[in-house]
Amino acid sequence: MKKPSPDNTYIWNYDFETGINRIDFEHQVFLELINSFKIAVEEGQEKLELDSIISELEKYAEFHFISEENFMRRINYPEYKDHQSKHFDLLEDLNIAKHDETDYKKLIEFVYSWFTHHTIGEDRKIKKFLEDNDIDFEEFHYNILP
Amino acid sequence: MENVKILIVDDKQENLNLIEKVLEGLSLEINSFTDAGEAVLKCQDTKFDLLIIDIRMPIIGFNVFNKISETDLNNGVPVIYLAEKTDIPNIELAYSKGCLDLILRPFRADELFSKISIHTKLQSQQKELRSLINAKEKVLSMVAHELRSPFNALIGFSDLLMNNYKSNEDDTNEFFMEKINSISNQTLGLLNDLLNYSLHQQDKILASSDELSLKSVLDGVCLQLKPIGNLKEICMNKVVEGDPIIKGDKAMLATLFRNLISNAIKFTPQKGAINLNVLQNEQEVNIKIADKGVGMNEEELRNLFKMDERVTKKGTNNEVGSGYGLLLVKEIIDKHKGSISVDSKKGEGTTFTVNLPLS
Repeated sequence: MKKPSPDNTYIWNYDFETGINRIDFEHQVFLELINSFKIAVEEGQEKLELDSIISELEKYAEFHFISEENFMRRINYPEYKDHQSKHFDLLEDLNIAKHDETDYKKLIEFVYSWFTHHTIGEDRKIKKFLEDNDIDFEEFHYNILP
Repeated sequence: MENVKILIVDDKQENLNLIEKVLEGLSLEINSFTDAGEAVLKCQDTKFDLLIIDIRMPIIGFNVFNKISETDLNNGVPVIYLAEKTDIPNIELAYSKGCLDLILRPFRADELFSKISIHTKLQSQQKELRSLINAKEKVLSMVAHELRSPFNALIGFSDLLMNNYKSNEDDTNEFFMEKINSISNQTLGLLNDLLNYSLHQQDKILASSDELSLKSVLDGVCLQLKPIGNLKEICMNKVVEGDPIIKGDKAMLATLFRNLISNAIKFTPQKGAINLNVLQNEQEVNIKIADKGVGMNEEELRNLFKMDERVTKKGTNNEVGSGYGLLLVKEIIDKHKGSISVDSKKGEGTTFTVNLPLS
C-alpha cells in the first residue's frame, strides 16, 4: 500500500491530464518524484539522498521526453521539432537549477512549475492533435497483460 | 605550465556562470560569450587552445565553430560541444564532425571539472611538445648552417694547397695549413659544444667533485687557445691572485672557460687585448674575462642565455659559433653552484664575471 502524502505535497489534478494514458501515467510518476524530493528537503535529508532523488528526476525526465518525442514522431505531429526543442530547453534549465545547491526550495518550485507549464501548455496540444485527426493512441502500444 | 586559453560560447548567461564557477581552480584563461558574433570576432586576434560551444543557440554551434576555424589563429583548434542528453541527432552530428568531446546536460559538476581539466592538460602538453619540436628543428637547421661555412673554408684552403703546393712559396703553404688547422679546431670545438650540450640536456654528464687548482685549469685553457689568439695577434693579460682551490669537475670547468675566452678572442679585433683577472675572498673566487671587442646592445644582452632566442654571431674574423657555448656555460656554472654576470656596451667591449664557491 502506498503511503499517504503529507499535507503540503503537490496533488494530481484534472488540469494535468492529457487524456493519453501512457503520458499521463509518466507524468504522475514524475509528480510523485517531485513530491519525494520536496518531502526529503523538508525533512532535512542529507545531500547524498537529495542528489540521488535529483538524479532520479533527471533520468526520468530524459526517459519521458524521449518517449514523448518518439510518440510524436510516429503520429507525424507537426509541432514535433518545436516541442522537442522545448524539451531541450527544460533540460538546460534543470541543469542550471540543480547546481544551485544553496537553495533546494527554489529547485522544487522550479521543477514543479516546469512540470505544470509544460504539461498543461504543450502536452495537451498532442491530445488535441490526436482528436482532430482521429488517431487512436492505443494502436501504438502492445498489450502485455494476460 | 602556461595557462590554457579557453573560449566558451553559450547563449545563456546562467550556463556561462555555472561553467565558470565549476572550472574555478583550474589555471585557465576563460573568455566567455553569449553572443556568437562577438566570440568569432575575438577569435580573429586571440589564439585559443580549446573551445566549448553550446550546440543549440540562435546560430547553431557547428556554424559558430566553422566560423572560428576559418580565422587564421584558430584553424584546427579542438572543440567540446555542450548538448542535451536527449538531443541524439546533434550528438551524432557532433561526433561525426570530429569534436574532441561532448558535455551532456544535465551534467555533474565533478564530471565537467575533470573532463575539462584532462583536456586542458593534454592541450598544454601538446603546446609544450610543439615548442620543443620547433626548438629542435631550429637547432638542427642552425647546426647544419653553421657547419657549412667552416667546411667551405676547409675545402677552399685544401684546394689551394693541393693545386698549387709546388708553385707556392713555403710561407703561403704554411699559412694555408695553419688556416686549415685552426678552422678544424674551431669546428671541433663547435661540435664538442653541441655534444656536451645535448649530453647535459639528457643529464648524462654528472659533475665530479674534485679539489682543483683554478690556476692550472685556466693555464691549460689559455695554452689551448693560444694558437687561435695568435692568429689575430691578440695579447692576453692574465693576473691570478694566489692559487684558489675550488671543488668541481675539471673537464667541465675547462669547457666553461674555453667558451668564455674563445668568445672574447672571437669578438676582439686584430691586435686587441683580453684581460683575465682572478680575485678571491673568503668564500668565493671571482673570475673576470674582459675584452675591448665589439660589445653587445641591450637586446643582445637580454637574450644571451635564452634557449629560444639563441642566435649566433660571427666573430671579427668571421669565426663561427654554435650558439650553444653560453648555454653550456650557464649549465656548468649552475652545476657548480656559481653565478655569472655580464656587462657590455656596443663598440666598447664585454666583461663576463664568474663567481665560483671556494673549496
